Amino acid sequence: MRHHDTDRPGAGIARSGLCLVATFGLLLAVPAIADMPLQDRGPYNFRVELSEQATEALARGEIMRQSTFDIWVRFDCPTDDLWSSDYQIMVRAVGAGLVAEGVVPIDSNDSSLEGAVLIPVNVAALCPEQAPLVPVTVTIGNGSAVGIEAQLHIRGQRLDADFGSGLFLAVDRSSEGMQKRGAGAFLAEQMANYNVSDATALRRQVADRVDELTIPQFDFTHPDDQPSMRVDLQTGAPR
Amino acid sequence: MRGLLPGVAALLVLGACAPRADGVRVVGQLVFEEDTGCSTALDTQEMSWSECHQFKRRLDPSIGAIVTGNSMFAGALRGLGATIVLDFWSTPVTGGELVLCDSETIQTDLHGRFETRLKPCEGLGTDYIVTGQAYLQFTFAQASGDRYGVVRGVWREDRALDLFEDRFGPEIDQAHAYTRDGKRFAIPRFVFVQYGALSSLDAVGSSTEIINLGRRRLLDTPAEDPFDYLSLMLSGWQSVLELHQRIRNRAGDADEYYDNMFSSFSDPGWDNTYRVSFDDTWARAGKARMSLFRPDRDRFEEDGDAWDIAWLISSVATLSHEIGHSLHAGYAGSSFISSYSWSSSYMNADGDFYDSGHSGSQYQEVGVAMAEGLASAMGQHLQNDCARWKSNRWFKGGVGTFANNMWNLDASCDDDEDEPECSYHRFRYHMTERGVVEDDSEWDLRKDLALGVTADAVAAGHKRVTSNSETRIAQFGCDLLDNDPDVNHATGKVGGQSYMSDFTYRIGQAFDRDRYAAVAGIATYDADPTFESVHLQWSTFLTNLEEYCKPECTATFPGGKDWGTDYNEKRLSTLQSPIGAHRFLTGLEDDGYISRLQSRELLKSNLMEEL
Repeated sequence: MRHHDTDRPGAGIARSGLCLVATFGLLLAVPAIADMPLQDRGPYNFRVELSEQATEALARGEIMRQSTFDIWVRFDCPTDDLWSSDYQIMVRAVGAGLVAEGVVPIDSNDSSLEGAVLIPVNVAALCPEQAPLVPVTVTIGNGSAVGIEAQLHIRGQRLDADFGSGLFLAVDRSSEGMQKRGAGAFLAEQMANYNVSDATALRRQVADRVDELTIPQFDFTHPDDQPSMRVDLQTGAPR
Repeated sequence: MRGLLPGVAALLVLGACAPRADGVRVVGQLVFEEDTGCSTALDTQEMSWSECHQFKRRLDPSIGAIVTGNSMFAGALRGLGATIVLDFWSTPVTGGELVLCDSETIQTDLHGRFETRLKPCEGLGTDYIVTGQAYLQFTFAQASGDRYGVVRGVWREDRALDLFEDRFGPEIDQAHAYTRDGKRFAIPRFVFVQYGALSSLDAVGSSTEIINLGRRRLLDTPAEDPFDYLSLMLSGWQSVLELHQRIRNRAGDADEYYDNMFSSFSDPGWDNTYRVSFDDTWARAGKARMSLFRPDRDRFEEDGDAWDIAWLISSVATLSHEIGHSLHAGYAGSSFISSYSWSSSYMNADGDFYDSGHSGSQYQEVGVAMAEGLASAMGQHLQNDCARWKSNRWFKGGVGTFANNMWNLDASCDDDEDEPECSYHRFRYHMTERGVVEDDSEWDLRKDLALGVTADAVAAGHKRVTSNSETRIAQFGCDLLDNDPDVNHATGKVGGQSYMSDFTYRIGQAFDRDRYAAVAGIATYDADPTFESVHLQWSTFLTNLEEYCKPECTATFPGGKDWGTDYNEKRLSTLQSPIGAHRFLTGLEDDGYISRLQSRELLKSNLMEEL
C-alpha cells in the first residue's frame, strides 16, 4: 500500500534529531578523548592496499611465493590535535611461511611477533596531506595464502580492541602466482572482507570493528525468543 | 531455558540434530550502531525511549548489556538477525594450500548472537582462519521444529551496484539470487574474517578452547556510502524481524502464524517466505511481502539529501504500518479490499492524469480507510500495545473547517500544472471517468449537486465527523485493541454537535446523480461519550476482520472503478458498506464480544457516524 508523502508521522522530528546527535557528538569528542583510556580511543580508519605496482604485478600473476612487494597503509587523519609522533602502525601478516619487513625501522620490542612490523608514524607530520600512505614491504614465504592487517598502537599498546584492516592474497593453483582469487570459494570470501565484494556481498575496504564479547553476555534471555540455531541456507529450514 | 547456551538450547528445543561435541566452540555477535528513536504508526500516540530501546533490543556498547533507561542512549548498538555461513580453514604446518576443515550454517538470535561448533582438520596446524558470511535471511520456527517461515531481504543487483559502485566486484552468488523480468535480485550479504591460533588440538582435532569472534560491528566505517543507505537498511531489516517476532508471540507460535505470514514464491527454493524487497519507490506491503525504498543513486542525488526519502527504509512507523498490511492480507484477506482511485486520482486542466497516493486528510473509500487505518492500528499495537495516547489526543482525519474539505470542488487551483492535488482536478477525473463532457449541462448539474453536499454539511455545522478516513480508523482500531477507557479528549466536543452522516457517500451520489436528496442525513450527537470499554484480544480482532464482511465481500463486489449506485453503497457509505467500520462493530455485537452501547460510545469517542 503506497504511502502519501504527507503521511509521515515524526519524519521531520527524526531528521532534526539526527542532526542534533551528530553535533553533540562532535562537541564531546575533543575534551573527552584526552582523559580516555587508550583502548577506548578511536575508531581509526585504516585501509591496507596494494601499491599500484603490486596491483599490476598481481594482475600479471607475477607475485608468487617468495615475492617481495609493497603495500600501503592508508589512514584517515584525526580531527583532533591529540595525535603526536609516538603513534605506530603495526602491520601483521598471517600465513604459512610469511615474512614481513617494514621499510622503516622495526621496533625491536615487537620483534617476537612473527610476520609483524611496528612502524612509527609521525601523524602530525603526515596529516597535512589527506589520507596519507605509509609504505610497507612484504615478503611472502612458502605459504599459499597471506593475510595482512594493520593496527594502530601507541607506546606499544594496541588501540581500540581488534580494530584493524587488511587484505588477503592467495596462490593461484594453476600459475602459482598470488592473486585475489583462485584457490576455491574460500578466497572469494577473504577478498570479500578486505577489498570489495561480489554483488551480493559488501566487501569492506576497512574491516569491521570488533569489540570484546564475553561469554556471560550470552546469558540474558528473552523467554519468547528462539536461540541461535542451525539452518539450511538454501531453504531456511531448521536443521 | 535460562542458563543454557543459545546454540545448545536451539538444538535441544528443535530436536532436529544432536549437538556435536567435538571440534571447537565458536561464539560471536553481529551488531550495528543505531540510536535513533521510534516514530509511531499513529501520530496521537507516543513510544517512550524505554519502549523504543526494548523494540530495538538496544545494547550498551561498553558492557554489552541491554539498554533499559528511558532516555536516548547515544552510540547504542542493535544486534543483527541473520543467517551465517561459518567456514573454518587451517594451514598445514609444512606450508601449502589452505584447507577448508568445516563449514556450518547457523542463524543468530534476535540479538545477533550466534554459537556453534566447528571442527578443525586432524593433523594440521593450530593456526586458523574463520570466515563468516552473514545473509539477510532469518527463520522463525515452531519450538517443535515442525513449521517454519523464512524472512528474506532482497535487492536488485544493478541498483546496488550503482549505489555502491566502489564496493562491488563482478562476481555473483548464484545460490542466493534469482532473475525476474530480466533483473537479478540477491540477498545482501556481509562478510567478516578472523585469524587466530589455538594453543593446542588433540588428535581428532578438538579443543576445549573457545574461538570468540567478538561483537562485530558492521558498518563501523562510514566510507563509500554517502547516503547511509546500508545503515538504514539494516535498521529496517531488524525492525521487520522484531515485528515478526511480536506477531509470532501474539499468535502463540501457532500454525496460523506460519500459514498467514508466509507464502511460497515461484522462485526456486523460496518456499515459506516473507520477502522484504529493497526495491521500491516508496513503501508497501501485502501478504507475505513488504517492499521498501531501493538503493537509488539518481533519486538520492536528485534530491540532494537522501534523507528526504531514505528515512522510509528504517522508520518504525512505516514498518509497523506496512506489516499491518501483511497481517490484514494474510490473516483476513476477505476484507482486504480497497479502491484508491476514488480519492487519489486527478486530472488537470490539460487533461493530464496524476495520482497523489493516500493520506490522512482524505475522505476516502471505505476499504482504503479500513485497510490503511487498521494497518496503522495493528502496527501500533505491535509497537506498544496501543498504549500511551498523547495527553492532547485529538481527532485525526477530516478537516476542522469543513468548507475546505477535499470534495469542495475549489477551482482556484485548476490552472496549476504542478500536481497541486486540486479538488477540481479530482472532480474532472471523476466526471471524465463517467463520460461526462466538461462544461456540458450534465457536468454543471453534477458539480452543483456536489457543491450542495458540502454546503449542506457546512450549514449543519459539520466538523471533522467521518468514518472514511484512514487516520480516524487507525484511532478507532487502536481503541478496539487497547485497554484504555479514557475519553477525556472528547469531552465538550461531541454532545450536541450536528453533522452530515455519510458525507463521502453523498459526494459519490452527487457525482453519479444518484438519488441525492438535499439536507439528507443530518444527525446530532445526543451527548459526549462517557466511557470506551472495548478491548478485543488480538486473535478475536483478526478473526472478526476475516469474517465480518462475508458473504458480500467474497461474492460479487463492485470493482475499484465500477462507479455508480452499487459502488457508492458498498464502497463509500460507511453505514451500508459490508467492509466498513460499522459493519465491523455489528459483527462483534452479533458474536457477543461487545454491546450496542459499547459500540455507540466507541463511535462517539472517535467522532464517527453513530449507528
